[in-house]
Amino acid sequence: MTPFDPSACLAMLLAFYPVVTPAALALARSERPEYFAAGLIFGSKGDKLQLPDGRVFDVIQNAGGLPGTQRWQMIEPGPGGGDEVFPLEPGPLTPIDPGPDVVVGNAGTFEALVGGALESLVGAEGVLDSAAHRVTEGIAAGALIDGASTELDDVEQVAWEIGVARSADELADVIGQVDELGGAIDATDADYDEPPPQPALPSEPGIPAYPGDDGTDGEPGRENPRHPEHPGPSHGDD
Amino acid sequence: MELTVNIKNFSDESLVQQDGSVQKFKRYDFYLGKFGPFVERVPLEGFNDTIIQTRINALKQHLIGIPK
Repeated sequence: MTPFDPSACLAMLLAFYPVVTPAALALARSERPEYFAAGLIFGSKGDKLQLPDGRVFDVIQNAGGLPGTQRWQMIEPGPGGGDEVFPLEPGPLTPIDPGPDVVVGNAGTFEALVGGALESLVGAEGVLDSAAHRVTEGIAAGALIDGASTELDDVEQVAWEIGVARSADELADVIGQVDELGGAIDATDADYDEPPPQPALPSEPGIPAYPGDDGTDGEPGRENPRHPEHPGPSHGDD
Repeated sequence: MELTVNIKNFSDESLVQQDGSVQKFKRYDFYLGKFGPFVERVPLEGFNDTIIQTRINALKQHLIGIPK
């Protein structure tokens, strides 16, 4: 197998395949297989070459870009890619000085931490005794609170009795007012002892039942049958 | 950059084409300076020495333009 020379492969591509496309790369791979050292073309765009020894080269620059912007290249990406064709220049930034190491405290174990905590509780017994004494004083204060509660119960009883008395007074006042209203009602009823007057019907005027009942003839020259003195027209008897 | 042509092998080859026909070539294995190997095939049909010379010159021009 012919050894692989990236420069020779790139010069071949530049010299004989001016149109830079993945199809041109595949065509070069089939027409001149010795330049590719049995490498395989792969990648989503068909622009990468993988050699049998595992090395990978990116062969087409801007493979997914607009047509006409692609260029042949032979770059081995990733660390350990060998000699860099375009090595980076040292930049203006310098690494930050990490400074001195962080000092770790003396209490490094859990037992030492627990022992230190227990030592801080040496004077706690006096505090507990003082707290118990305060509780005893609190019991005496409880008796005072109970006495005050009894007095409060009496206040409630007195307040209830006052409320009942006030209710009784209010009820007596209402009854007295009702009695006074009863006298006024009786006095008012006495004014209406006489019987109410009967309603007078209006006098009915005499309505003539027939024309001429009023003594006048309805039509000139016509006899009224109810008034012989005013004969009306005959109806065939004569 | 010195790109001296150093031919390592010169032979005849017969390759089967995709349509099944057999085509004969002259195969050149050579180096250009420290670069290579280069392998070029020139068809025997209508063979001319200027063809391989033209290819070598083209490879030289592009090798000079490649940054090192």
